[in-house]
Amino acid sequence: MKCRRFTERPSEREILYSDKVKQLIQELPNRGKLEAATHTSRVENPVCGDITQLYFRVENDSVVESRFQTYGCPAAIAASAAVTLLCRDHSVKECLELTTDTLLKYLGGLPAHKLHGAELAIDALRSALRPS
Amino acid sequence: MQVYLDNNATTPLDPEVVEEMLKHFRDDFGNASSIHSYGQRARAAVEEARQKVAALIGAQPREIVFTSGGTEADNTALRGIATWHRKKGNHIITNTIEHPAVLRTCQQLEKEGFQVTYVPVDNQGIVRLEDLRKAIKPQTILISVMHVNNEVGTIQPVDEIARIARENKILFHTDAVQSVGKIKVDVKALRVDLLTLSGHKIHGPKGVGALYVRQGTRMNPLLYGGSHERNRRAGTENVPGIVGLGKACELAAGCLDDFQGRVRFLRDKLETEILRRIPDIVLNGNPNFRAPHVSNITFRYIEGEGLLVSLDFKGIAVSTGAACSSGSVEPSHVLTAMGRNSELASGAIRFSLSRMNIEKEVDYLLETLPGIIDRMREMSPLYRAAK
Repeated sequence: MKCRRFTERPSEREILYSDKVKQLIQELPNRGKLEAATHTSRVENPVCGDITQLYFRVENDSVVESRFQTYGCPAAIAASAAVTLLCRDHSVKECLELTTDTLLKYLGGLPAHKLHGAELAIDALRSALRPS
Repeated sequence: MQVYLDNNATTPLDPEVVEEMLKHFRDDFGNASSIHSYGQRARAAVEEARQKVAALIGAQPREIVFTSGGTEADNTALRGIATWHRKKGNHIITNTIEHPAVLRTCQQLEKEGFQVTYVPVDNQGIVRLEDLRKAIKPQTILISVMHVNNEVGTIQPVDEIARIARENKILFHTDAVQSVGKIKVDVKALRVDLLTLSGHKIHGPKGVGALYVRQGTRMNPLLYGGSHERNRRAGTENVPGIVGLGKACELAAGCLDDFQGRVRFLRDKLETEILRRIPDIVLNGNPNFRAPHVSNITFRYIEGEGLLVSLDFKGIAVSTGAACSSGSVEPSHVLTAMGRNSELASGAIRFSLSRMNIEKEVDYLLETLPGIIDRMREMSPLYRAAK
């Protein structure tokens, strides 16, 4: 009988969160309020109630410090944490070019029903750094 | 350390159950309807299991119908009674915190022309008897109220509801998958007409359950086919599963005191210490009328799924009171029916124990939880705003 070949380990097929998301949830890097922030935003998903607040300290047009606070599901938390990591030491212009797709790639993907977590984080990023 | 505190979802198999089942997977594979010795051995095993199930709930063996689980037993009870008694009436009474196996079946029956009243519960999750009495009509043929709620552990006054049903000549069904094997359940004392139980909630296998049908209760089967289960459930008996259920019931009967003593002590310790160590929490359910193995707690300013995942990293398995999906949060229908708002329902965590949990595991949870809660609140904008 021909051996059935799996293209991936069965245990990996139905996993809800990627290793990157799990790592971010475990470590929660850059969590908490940044008192010295020069740019902040608070964005809420009115449907599911998730809230993300981002804090950036910008010096010479470059993000030198970034933090987040999020009330929401693991996807929203990990996406917000990821945004603070991805923006550090980048220019405001570069930060504003960050897209949901790039963020999702960094996160190793999100389950289809959790994509709104990444969208929330990108909305918050743009809301904070967009020139007024 | 691995700590499993999600026993209302499912329980680990008892090794003694596995041993009993293996015999029927490996050697005694016969069809219980066959006349030869292979079939006879399977038949004897099924009937022995039937006696054990009946003994646990104070029933006669002939009153036990094996099913594929709790959901099938609930469907059989509701549809079987509704369709048989349709000429007498088309009204069913249930309540807002039932398991989906009952709620969705009732919704489907509504589409088929039945009327269903969903009686509300109070803020501790107890069915309002006054509303239940008022809901009774001349056309009411069935009342279905669960014994112990799966999410908050509240024990419903089923003896009182059974009395009300009997006085009004209405049949009464209770879904007892979270009470059988955990608190004393005696169908004769409760005087219920139909009762659902499930194997995998009591350290038995998945895919097997039973419906108690009081002798003389007339109803249609859910599945049509062979004359198995005295024409009440067609389909070749799942002999290893039924044997496993029987063994699980036998073991559970000997462990009821353990639930009332040791498991209750562990649950109380878990709850009291969480209340003592962590501020801003809300206990969900009725502290006086509650099964000994369940604790449902809202940790304010935190979303439950994040807490669940954080606990999972530490090897602790629990479940949440809400599921966030497709950008909309779906708070538990039980907590919503109890009047909890979206934030309180979203932060709810259910801890459910079994007789296999030990004190060291509860201690590990108590050591681990406060730090995780602090960390999650530290990054919650709701917590900052409230403080």
